[in-house]
Amino acid sequence: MNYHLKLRGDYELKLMDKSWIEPLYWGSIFLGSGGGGNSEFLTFLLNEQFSKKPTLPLLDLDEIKNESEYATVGLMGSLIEETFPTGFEGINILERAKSSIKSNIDGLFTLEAAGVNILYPILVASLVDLPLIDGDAMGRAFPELHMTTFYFNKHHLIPFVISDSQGHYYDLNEKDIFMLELTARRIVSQQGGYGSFAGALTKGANLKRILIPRTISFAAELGKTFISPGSYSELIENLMMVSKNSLYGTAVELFIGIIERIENIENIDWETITIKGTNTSENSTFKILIKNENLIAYRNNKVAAMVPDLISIVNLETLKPVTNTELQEGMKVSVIGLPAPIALKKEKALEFIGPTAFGYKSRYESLEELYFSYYY
Amino acid sequence: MQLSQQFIEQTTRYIGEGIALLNSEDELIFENVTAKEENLYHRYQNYTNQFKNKKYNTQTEFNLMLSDPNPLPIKINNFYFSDQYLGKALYTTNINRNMVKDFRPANIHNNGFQGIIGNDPRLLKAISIANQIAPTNSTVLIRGESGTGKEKFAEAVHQQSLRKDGPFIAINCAAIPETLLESELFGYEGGSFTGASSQGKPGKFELADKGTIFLDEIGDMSTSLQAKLLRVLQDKRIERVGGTKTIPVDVRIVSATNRNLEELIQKGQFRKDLFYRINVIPIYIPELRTRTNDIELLVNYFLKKYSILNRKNFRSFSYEALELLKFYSWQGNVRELENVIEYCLTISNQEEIAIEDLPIQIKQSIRSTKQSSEENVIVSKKPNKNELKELLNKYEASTDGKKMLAQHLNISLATLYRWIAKYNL
Repeated sequence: MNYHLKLRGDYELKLMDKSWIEPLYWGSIFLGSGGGGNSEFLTFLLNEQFSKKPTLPLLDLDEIKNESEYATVGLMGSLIEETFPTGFEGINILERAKSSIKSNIDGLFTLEAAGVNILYPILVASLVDLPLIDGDAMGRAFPELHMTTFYFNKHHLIPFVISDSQGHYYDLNEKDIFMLELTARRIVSQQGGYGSFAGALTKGANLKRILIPRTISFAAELGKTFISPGSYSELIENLMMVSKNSLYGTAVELFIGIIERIENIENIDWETITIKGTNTSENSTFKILIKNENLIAYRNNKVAAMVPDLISIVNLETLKPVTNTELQEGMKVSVIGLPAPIALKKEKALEFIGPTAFGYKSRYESLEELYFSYYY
Repeated sequence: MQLSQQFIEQTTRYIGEGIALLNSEDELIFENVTAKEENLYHRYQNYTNQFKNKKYNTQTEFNLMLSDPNPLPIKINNFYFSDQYLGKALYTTNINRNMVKDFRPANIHNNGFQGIIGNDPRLLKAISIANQIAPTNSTVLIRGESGTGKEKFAEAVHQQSLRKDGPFIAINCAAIPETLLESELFGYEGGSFTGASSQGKPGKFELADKGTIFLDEIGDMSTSLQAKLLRVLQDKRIERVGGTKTIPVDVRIVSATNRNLEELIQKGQFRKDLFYRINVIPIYIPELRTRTNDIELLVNYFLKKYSILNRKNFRSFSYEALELLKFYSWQGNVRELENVIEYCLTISNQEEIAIEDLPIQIKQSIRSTKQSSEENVIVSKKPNKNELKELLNKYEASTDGKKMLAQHLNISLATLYRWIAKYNL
């Protein structure tokens, strides 16, 4: 696995270095749409790694070779502090996954450009000296492997290798991603709650058709807006500007208020957050239904946003995006909607990641449809 | 006459969609039963009153989303005889399907630049200039090829200006015969010429008072009218055709042209003094074919728009079809691209729009692309250090420049970077 690419010149978003870590961290939370896990520990590991090896090439999908093989690495499950991954487990599982093919791997990609799965593949890529591809298969955070563009495009993820938190390896060969997800999930929950995975060896020509382009650089651009946000209105202006010129679409402020209640819905795996409006929305109430990620939002009992569009929360005290585990009653927040890329909005994708896929009995209404005059 | 009237009434009853016909003064001359039930004409009037600054008769066909009490997508067809605007038809589209909901987002308003999509540095610069000068009263000259979105820019400047609550009045100087243009711009007094209304009529400048007037295709204005326009710019007063008194107007002028005004000045076809007056802030909008990285963004933007307006599921282009769109030369710029997307969504029922579904002019471009890539093979022999250096200078050091060079050499961008690194350039 030798890959040395010395880039020079104008590659602001082409060659990652230390300056990318913080933007990607905030971007990974925003694109997590409430979920995706917190990748703070990875920022320390990455900082250290970039001190040793200062840059990592980020390849545009247009730049990858049709005949070359590329692989994914990532984390699944809930991380426990005592057994945080170090990235080195990624090297071994990647080698194991690679042993099933004859050629080399020319680069890595992530399945999920959100939460921990933005930073972890960068760490592993740097450790194994491979470039990372600027794209992913979810465009946001989702909890399951079949919620990827691989599944919608009827492409498998094998070979697929998991390493659990105890350092055991498992080679999974289910071609059906839904079955693969079940097996992987069973292993991970039985063996300590989290695992690292590698696999989905795919030719460049196929990846060009499967991955959503430029989601990593978009996460960084998005994250930059949170670093020195200035005022809230400046933050919103910048978010709108960055998101407008992306494959997502313009971010839209859905609500501003104070979190009144955070509740679990008994017997089912849903949580709700109730936000009471402030200022101009004083008499309004906003509700978000959560199942891992923020899935459906209502303003005064009318639908205000729906999965796969992203519903992200910004803490108005700090002007930073927050995951659902950080939410507290009394917190002053702004709820921001971000349209999902079109690849997630198509009928064959909605079947697996639209509102009905999560048990909601109503058809998907996109942000662009709900706020048509804002967008067009 | 009676027969055809009754026939039309009966036929349109069976269509299931609302249809209304309006004359050139926007007065209702016919509506079918569904249009009556949906209150189509009044809702259209409410909408146009709300957005007085927009023009609804400059394009032959476009879509609107009426609001109140619930959103209603409609299509508008404008009719012309030669250059004369005759009136328009309003059609509801898919009225029986679920209505599109359209709440206003909490505190954010469309700032006018929302629909100007692209990351091209020259486009971003144009937006930045427009944003900066919008709150001032400076005259603006927008230059760019046809279809690049000059009117969108002009509207955005108005929306961001202190005059945003005033009217935005657009007039296409090339679309109106010279004899009529003067009275269109400055209005006329009653009975000042044959066919004139006895009450007289205010011109666009009067209508744009406290707002912005957008003079599109100003390069096509006759020199005699240019002299009159110059006087208005200097005196801030107009005189109606056939009138004797001067009327003060407080109007910001934004003009646009796709013609080379400097050349027209040389030929004596455009007044130098007027040019300096209107060209205080020049804004250049780049052609779409020179900003290929923006094509995919625009494709996505319009795919979503027309999927919603046509009440269809979201669809996208196949990888191959998208590649073709990226390399097509887009002589008609963003307008042509928008039309192509609407066309493709109409004729294809597949979730993935394939090359076969593209309009013929784009499919034909495959052949020329193939030919040029064959030519490229000849130059794809690896250049030596000096040759590569020369080529890099020729194509500029920007990423776009390198992409173009890589394309010219028929190699990937990564290979080009490898060569650059190898030669230590």
